[in-house]
Amino acid sequence: MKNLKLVSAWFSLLLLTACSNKDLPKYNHLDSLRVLALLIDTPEVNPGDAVVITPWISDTNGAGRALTYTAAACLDPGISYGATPTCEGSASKVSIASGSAIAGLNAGNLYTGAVNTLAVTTPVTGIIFAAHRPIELYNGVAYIVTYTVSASDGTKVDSFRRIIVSDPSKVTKNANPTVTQILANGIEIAAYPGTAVNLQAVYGAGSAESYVAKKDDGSIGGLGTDVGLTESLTTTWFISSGATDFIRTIGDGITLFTPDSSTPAVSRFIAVTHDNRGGVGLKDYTL
Amino acid sequence: MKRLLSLLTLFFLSLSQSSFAASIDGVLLERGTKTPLSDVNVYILPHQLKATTDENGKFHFDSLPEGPFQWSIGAADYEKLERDDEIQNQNITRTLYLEKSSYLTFETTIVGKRDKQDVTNRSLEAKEFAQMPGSGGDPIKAVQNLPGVNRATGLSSQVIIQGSAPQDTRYTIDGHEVPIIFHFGGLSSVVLPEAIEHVDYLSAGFGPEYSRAIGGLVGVWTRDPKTDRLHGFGSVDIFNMGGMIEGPIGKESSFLIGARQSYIGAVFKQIAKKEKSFNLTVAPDFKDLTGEFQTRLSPHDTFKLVTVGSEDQLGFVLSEPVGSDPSIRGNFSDETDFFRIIPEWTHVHSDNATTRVSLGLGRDFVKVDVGDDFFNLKTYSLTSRAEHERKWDSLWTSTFGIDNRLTWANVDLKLPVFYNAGGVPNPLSSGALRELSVSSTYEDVGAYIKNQIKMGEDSRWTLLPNLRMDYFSETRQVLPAPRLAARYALNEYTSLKGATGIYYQPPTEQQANDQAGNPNLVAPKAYHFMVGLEKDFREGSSRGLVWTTGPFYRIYDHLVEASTQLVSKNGTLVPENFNNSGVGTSYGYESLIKADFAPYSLYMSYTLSRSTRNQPGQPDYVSQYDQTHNLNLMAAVDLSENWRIASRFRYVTGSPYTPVVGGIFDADNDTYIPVRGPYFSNRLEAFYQLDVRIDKKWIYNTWILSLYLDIQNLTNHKNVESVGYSYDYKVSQNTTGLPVLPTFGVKGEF
Repeated sequence: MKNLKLVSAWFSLLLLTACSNKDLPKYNHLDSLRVLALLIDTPEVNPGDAVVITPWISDTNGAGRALTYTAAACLDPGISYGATPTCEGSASKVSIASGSAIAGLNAGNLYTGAVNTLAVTTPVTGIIFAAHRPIELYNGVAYIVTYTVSASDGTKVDSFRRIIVSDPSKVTKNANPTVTQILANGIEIAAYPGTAVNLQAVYGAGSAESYVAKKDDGSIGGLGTDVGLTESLTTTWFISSGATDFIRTIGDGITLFTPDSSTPAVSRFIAVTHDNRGGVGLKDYTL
Repeated sequence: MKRLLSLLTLFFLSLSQSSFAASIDGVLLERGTKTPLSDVNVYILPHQLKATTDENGKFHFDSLPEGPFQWSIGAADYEKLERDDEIQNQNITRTLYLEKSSYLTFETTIVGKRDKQDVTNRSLEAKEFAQMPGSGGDPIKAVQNLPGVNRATGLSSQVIIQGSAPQDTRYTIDGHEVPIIFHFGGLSSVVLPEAIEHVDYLSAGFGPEYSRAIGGLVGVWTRDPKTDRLHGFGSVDIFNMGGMIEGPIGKESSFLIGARQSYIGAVFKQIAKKEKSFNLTVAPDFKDLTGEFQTRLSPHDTFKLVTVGSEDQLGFVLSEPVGSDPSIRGNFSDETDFFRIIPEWTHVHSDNATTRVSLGLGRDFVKVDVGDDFFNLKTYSLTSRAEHERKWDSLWTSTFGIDNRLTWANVDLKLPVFYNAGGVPNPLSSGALRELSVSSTYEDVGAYIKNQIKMGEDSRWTLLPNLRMDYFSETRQVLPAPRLAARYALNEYTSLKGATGIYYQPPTEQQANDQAGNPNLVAPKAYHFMVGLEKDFREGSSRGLVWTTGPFYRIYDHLVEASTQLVSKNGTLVPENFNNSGVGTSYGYESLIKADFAPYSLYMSYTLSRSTRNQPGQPDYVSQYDQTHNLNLMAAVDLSENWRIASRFRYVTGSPYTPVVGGIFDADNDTYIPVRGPYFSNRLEAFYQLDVRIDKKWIYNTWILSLYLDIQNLTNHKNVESVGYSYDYKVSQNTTGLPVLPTFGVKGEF
């Protein structure tokens, strides 16, 4: 056994050396300019419907610098098959905003929060559904909204969001999950924790919906099964200080939050929950 | 009185003769291996008696005087045996062992041409790869020392030939195709090294016996089981343990069976216990089995049955999503199994005609589970080869052959589209989920004729005009592939050679699939050209240099490339998935020097090459597998007492990679999609590594104990194997390869 441990230690060293990417920035740490989420009031709609998109931006290290945004919409160029997510060069491109100033970020929210909303109207049936197969009309065709945030120093963040447009005959469409609370050791978080705590998201009723999809043979079922599926909720834990052992948790999963040694003047805890069909919910705390 | 004395003398002499009429039946064997030594003179001193061993090592002495005597035996390459003995009885038996001067013969590398009809074929004999530093006694790793073979990055298990892509290399065992030749991580080949006779390496301009590969071929050939007695071995090193036994069955048959089992997984499990988010459910593990049976059916017929089986598996659970791709979570398992049963019948019609027929019956199984997604591939294959070799006269030999592959494949998958343009993968979360369950049958039929024509009894020219025809059901194409090779002997020790040909390979099953691929693909094609010079400076002696050198050139056409285009099919838009838009070239110069100045030996291979690709929408770019300089230097010295030290130094230009110039946040999937810069426009740092291997053997009369220490990357140089990025691709970081890696092993054989 002793020898095995020695070999084990040697292998640990081997793996650590071979896979040394520990120093890269953590996904869930709020620091540089980034888009945290593009929330759509209704993630799946009928052709021609209008939606409102609420971007969530973080620029914690920006200290209140001026930010602008540009937005456009277009038919999906085939992003899920590898095409670059952009509306540039697309004949269907519709400009939504160009160089508009971003408002809504301040020191009180640590320059992290919801900003100017976008109003988008999806194309009508003849455009959005042109040359798509019936199963795609049922399962939904993506309409793309691109959103770019720029800072005066040239820093730029590109993002995009799909609006799922499905056949009006599909009555039950996807809805956003809701996050009602963030719990710290089972109690809604109310102050910056002085010691390590377990963070957990509480979801609103019906957040994880049951759903079906139309398969290639025209039958109804879940992909990979003949019966329906239930959405899997994945929550990303954005924090402005401290550290979590997991960046994301699944369902009711718990992540251990370890605070910084000194309590920050302001800190942010944001849980962004994605269902696996494009629905997004968000709950944030400023502590 | 004188007459009386004479009579008395004769009387006592006759008495003496009768009482000392002893005899010895003996056998002379090589110490350790028990190999009979034939044609060796055995002396008994001081009586000046001599006997010569027969083919079984046996010898016999008659009429020896009773009393002490001394054996004296000497033979080339063996230590002289001088041993005291004594005869007490009239008849005795003796087994004598002669110890070789060295059991560590280090014939570093490549012999010339095993198949004289193929001017590009290089073969590695089993004894050559056994003690190469860095190869761990593995034949395929030894192939990676050859000129023209690109260094595979990281723990890759693939063999990349002359700037082609890994999937352009075909692997065979006894001529029959197998899906993999290495276990995971490239740690070990799937055939027990001790069961291998030689490994063929076919590069630009290879002959017509093989097709379905535009890059080249690595062919493993099993050796015949030994027939003289029972042999066996057991071995243990830090990765695996194994053993083999072989021997005769009756007078006409023989068998061999060997197996290996890794225990690297036990080590990983210990490590994984400390990781909160990582639960190793199936330890990484491999095992393989090699079996052979051979029998002589008649003086003209031989039957051989070879069975090879291999299994690799790994499983773990990620309790929560990790990294920047939410799809990377849940249960992971990966299992790759295959087996082949290869019956082969050889019939020798006459000195001028031989027929060989063999089948490869097998199943491949690949199972990958990634969270809720999966990929299951079950393939049954029947490969068939037949060759009739006919020597028309002393100048002309023809071979007629068929080389077929029938495949029944069943694929069940539920996986996101994996887009990996420029070698940069998109996150799985962003790919369209694809569900598929298809059964397909593919028939790849090939026939060939190869000729070896010497242009006259005294001619220096040998021509090899060859033709291959293939039919690929994947593309519904009949493809003629003419190939030509020639050799010109400048003198007995120097020759020029050249070869050219057309080569095709079918698209993979996934690429040709109606739903996940593109059924309208055609077969990728390559034109090969090579010329070379071979010079044997030894000129008949056993010491000196052998030099092989020359350029190669390849043109690739109709290469299959991933496509992001949506194309109209029956009035609806569907993803094209793949198309034949790729073209490219690779060219270079190879040089190989082998020097043998016992007890020192030296081996040097060097390749200067360039490999480029082009596809629509991209400027010409160097291939992912372009390596400008590739140098392998090996040196060894055989010391006394069966010690041996060998070292290898490698220098390889850094591999090209595609820089990622930014990332676009995918707000639906909470991940970033990379924005690629010009394909393969950056290079990793140059790779260099020093490996050392020390061997020691202890020779006992009936068995041998071997011990080795193989240290890879002795200087612990941090070679960069890839570039990693932060979640948004704004920060990059080099990922380095293996640190100093000592391997210790012990083996006992009888």
